[in-house]
Amino acid sequence: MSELTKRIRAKYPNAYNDLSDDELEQKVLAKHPQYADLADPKDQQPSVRVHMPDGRVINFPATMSHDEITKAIDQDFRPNGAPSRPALSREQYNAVRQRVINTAPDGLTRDQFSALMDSELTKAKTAQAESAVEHTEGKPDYNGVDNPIYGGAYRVVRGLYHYAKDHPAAAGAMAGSALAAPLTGGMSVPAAMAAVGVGGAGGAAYGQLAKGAATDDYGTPGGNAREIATEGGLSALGEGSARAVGAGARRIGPILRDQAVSAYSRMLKPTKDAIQSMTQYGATLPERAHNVAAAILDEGVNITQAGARKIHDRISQLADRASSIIANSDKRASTSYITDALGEARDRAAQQLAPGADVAAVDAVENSVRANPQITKRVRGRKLLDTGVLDASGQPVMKR
Amino acid sequence: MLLPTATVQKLDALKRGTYRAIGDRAYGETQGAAIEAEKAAARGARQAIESVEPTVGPIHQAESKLIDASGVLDDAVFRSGKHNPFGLTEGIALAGHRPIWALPALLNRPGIGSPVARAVNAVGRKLATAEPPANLVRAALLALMGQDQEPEQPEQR
Repeated sequence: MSELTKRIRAKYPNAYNDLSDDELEQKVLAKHPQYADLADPKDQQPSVRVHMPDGRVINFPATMSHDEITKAIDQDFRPNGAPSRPALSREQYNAVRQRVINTAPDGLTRDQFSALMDSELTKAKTAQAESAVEHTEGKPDYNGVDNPIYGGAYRVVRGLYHYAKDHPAAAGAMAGSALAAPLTGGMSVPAAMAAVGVGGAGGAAYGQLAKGAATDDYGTPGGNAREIATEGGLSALGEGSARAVGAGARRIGPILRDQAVSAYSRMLKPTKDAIQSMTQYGATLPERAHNVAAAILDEGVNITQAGARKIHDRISQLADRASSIIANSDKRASTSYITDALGEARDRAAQQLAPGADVAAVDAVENSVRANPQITKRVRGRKLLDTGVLDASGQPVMKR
Repeated sequence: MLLPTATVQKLDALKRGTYRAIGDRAYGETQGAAIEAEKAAARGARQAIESVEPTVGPIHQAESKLIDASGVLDDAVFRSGKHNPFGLTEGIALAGHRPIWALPALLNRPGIGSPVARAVNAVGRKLATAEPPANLVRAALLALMGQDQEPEQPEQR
């Protein structure tokens, strides 16, 4: 006789006398597969071990499909978290037992006490079921204390929702850490949950679900838990995917742009002479060719007459803007900038073996600037006299 | 005697006049050092203006870069106008009944290839500054989980 039939016959003496041990066992297992671990070992089949939300561990026959297991679990635990036939917690059971002990009349036999205890337990379960229905009517009770898994998942989602809304950057980093170890026990996730303020229960539930998804050993009720675990994983995975997509786009973007500029530069074919003096576009000639192509491309013009016209119009607009600012200015600027620039030009011209002609040309320009009546004033008094002496650049030295 | 200061309008007029004179002169009319000196004087005038009107500086820089670029662009447009519309590559491709072979050559034509390059450049620029669509993904996943809005907190028992 198996342990299962032994217990059934002990609990319900003479009730199943018309059935053999094997028949009784088969009928019980057909209706309550969760007792398969008590059946005769020779009749036991490979099983799927599932932790129920109330702490029980049930071995479902491996022959049961995923949907059948889910349905069997859902008979005890509705998907919305409100148990239809709630199991009492250990504390609740002990409270009922203590109440029965305190209130039971003296002289009860063992069977009578068991019957009274069963009756009180049924009443307590019914009251709890009614209370649960009353509070969950019209809205799912994800926070049900009798279903830590759903309640935990609810708190996780709610915590993530608030945290991501208030701290988008940190939420992104958290999602990245979840992606780094996707569904591998979720050890980083509970820590993140703690940061979110979800609390240990929510974090533990999330970690348990993630672990279930990774090991395929769901420490939670059947299909519903599987869905939660999968969706929870998807949430983290989705966040990570979004970040990956963004990062990928930011890497691909410059590559595409570089290719576009190279192709545009090949069509533009800037000559060496044209880019020789364009020092503002880069140090080397290839660099200048690339950068000038990028500059034109960024203006959004084609290599056509219309494109050339567009660039010239743009230049005119810029010139007009500068002119407008200058026209409305009442400021005066130092002319020393001009003489300084000419001095630099003279220095450059002097850096050669035969500087005379070039230096003289620069000095001639400077003298011309100094003679410009728009930026000079007449010196009253003695006229400048030619000393008859030439300076190093061949110009006459004057004196007053 | 050179005045210590001058109005920005006067300096700007001198600067523009100098550049115009340099551009209008025939090639070889003035020796290189003199032209460099005139350019230096005009550059000095520009720096003087920018020293008292700093907002003009960036505009001048952008204008200068575009003037250089426009020279390169003008050359390319002028050169493309001399292209044979039916080139050797296209001829070989059509003769071999392989019109697809002409595609790379056509894409290298400035008139056809430059709009393509512009489009690719625009896409690249947008992607380079793309933000991850985290909100979109989050919304989709929350909707999937039946949490498309903040869940209502049930009453505590």
